[in-house]
Amino acid sequence: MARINFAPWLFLAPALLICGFFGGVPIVQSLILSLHDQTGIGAPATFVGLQNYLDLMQDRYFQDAFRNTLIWMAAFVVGVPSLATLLAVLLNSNSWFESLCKTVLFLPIALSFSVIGIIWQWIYQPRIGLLDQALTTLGMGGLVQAWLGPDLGLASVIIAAAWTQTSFSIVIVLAGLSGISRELVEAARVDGANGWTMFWRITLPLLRPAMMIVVSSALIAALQSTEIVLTMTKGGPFGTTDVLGYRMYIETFWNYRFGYGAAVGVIITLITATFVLPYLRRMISLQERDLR
Amino acid sequence: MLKRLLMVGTALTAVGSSVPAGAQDIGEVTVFHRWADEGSRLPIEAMFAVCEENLPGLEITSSYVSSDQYEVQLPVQLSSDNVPDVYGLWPGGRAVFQAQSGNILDISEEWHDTIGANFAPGMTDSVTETDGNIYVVPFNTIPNGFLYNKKVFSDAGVEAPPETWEEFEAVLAKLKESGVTPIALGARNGWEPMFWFDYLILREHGSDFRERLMAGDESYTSPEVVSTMERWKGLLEDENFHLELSGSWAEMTGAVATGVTAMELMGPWAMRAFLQAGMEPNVDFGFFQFPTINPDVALATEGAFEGWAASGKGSNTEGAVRLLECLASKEAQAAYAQGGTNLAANADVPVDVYTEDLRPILAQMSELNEYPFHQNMELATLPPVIEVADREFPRFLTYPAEYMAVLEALQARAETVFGE
Repeated sequence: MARINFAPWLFLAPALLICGFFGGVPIVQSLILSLHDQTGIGAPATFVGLQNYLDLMQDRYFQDAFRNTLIWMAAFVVGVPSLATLLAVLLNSNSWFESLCKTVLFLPIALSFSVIGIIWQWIYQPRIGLLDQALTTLGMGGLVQAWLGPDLGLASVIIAAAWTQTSFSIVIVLAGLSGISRELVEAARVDGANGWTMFWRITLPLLRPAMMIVVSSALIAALQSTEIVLTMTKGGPFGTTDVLGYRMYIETFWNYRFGYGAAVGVIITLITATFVLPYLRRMISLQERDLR
Repeated sequence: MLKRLLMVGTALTAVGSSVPAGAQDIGEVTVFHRWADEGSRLPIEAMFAVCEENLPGLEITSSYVSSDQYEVQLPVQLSSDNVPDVYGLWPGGRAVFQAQSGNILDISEEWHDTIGANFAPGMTDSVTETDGNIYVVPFNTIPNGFLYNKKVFSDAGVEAPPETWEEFEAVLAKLKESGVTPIALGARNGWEPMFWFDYLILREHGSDFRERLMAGDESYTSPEVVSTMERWKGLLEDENFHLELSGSWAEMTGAVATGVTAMELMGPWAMRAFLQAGMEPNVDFGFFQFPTINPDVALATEGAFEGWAASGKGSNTEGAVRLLECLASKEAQAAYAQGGTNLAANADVPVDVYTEDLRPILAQMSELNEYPFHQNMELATLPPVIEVADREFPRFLTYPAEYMAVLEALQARAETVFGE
């Protein structure tokens, strides 16, 4: 009979307990709440089964938010890692200019989403905002748009949020780049590989652990976009920038529909699990294969 | 601190003392509010200081968060083990919402016994909620009306502000002829377009209809509301609005001040922007009330008033009621209004307590308090209906022909919230 090795579990126990308590308990609570109709904290809750979920499927505002969230996720998963990798490769040296660029690019990491929202709101402000002023000054007044209007609002808010997420991703990719063995790069160069080949055959495969963090954190950040939407547009105009996190906030703290808001929260959790967990599993298995 | 003491001192000297004195110590009263920034908080603290001075043993422990946070924090505080005795609230839909949750004290009896005497007679109707009870003691009134750029008006050949709808339309025509889009309207916060909806309803169909509409007793798809939306649609299609959906009131006020557009339907707080632009009240900018549409409909004022409510669940409810009585007083509200731009709700606060440069216009605005005063839609009806209005009115501004879809969405939500 095989002996069970308890030692790893013993070491993992504190982390599992903390994560279980602070992660698992709220998820279970939300799941239970989502099966109830409850108006306000502490108000009596009536069990309604899956009715909140069925109502969500018919809710046009929820559908708009769901679609916008998927667009946001796609933009973050494709755009942020690509841009971060490109910038990190360009900045991966020790010259003073590149150090300066790194400092400037890293600054947004220190800012909260609310502050970023306020900064970008000022940039996009109609007529007197930085962007409109710059375009007008450069004689390109014809390009001035309603940046936070119904047509461009979602893209504008995503760009604002991507600013900080890209900064974070650059840090991760740079850390990944610093871990690539110089001997390997030199050997490839001796073998006649050009820059393009080295990027695709050496740099990118060896960045896989870093990319795992970059992509999964981008996915999670895309689902946590509530704060910046709240600061910049409040989901408007007419829901064109609404996202699931903001919908959860509105249903819970504005409409006081705690069960309905919890149902939105559960759906966010499910989306996170659906997209992030398979991605992490795939990346970990590739990593294990490489190690073998 | 010095500023606060000066404000309190001036107010006390100016208006004397008529606060009811208590026979025994009131003790600690906890207050939670949303006036966090210094400009809003200091006048609030000046009110508190007056009450601490006048009520024996009263010790106010106040805490506050920003407005955005308040909507989240208030339900949490009210359901905690440490419920505040008094909290800041708007009369109207928000108060009814709290009443439905059992988190607010009915002060109808105290209002009729003592508190109500501090206000103009019409205020009792304004603070009486749709359930027939009174919950909130108002400390200010913020009437909305047209702020306009006098130079733009005179350049277009407009000599006097309009009083009737026909005159208003004539002004719009003259302004457009002079090359100016007449009316600034932003929608970033969601509530800006509601001022238009409110006033059009009030002027076409009167106070009672509007009250019933906000309470869910009239339909948003009724012929009355449809006719109002058609009037508004006409204004939009005739290109009378300088619309910026992502613009806030501040940007739109800036557009009026710089002459990009001529006027804005807004509250007294927006006058600060004119002053900051170096404009002089009643010389460079002026104020007029929303014109009459139907002469058979009595005038009414739309705007906002803010106030204080007792939770009835705190540790010192008796002290909370005493504090509410004090906060309604002339002294407390004079201290609040000292040097500010918001009108005190107390009818006896003299106009000379307000900031000197704006007194002429504030006096004009205070005359609007003589009419029935209505909370604007964002504060008058229940939050779930407001959510739809926030979202659908900007859609209407963009696609005026879709007004029925907007009204149907509002009615569907109203039926969900109020019942069919």
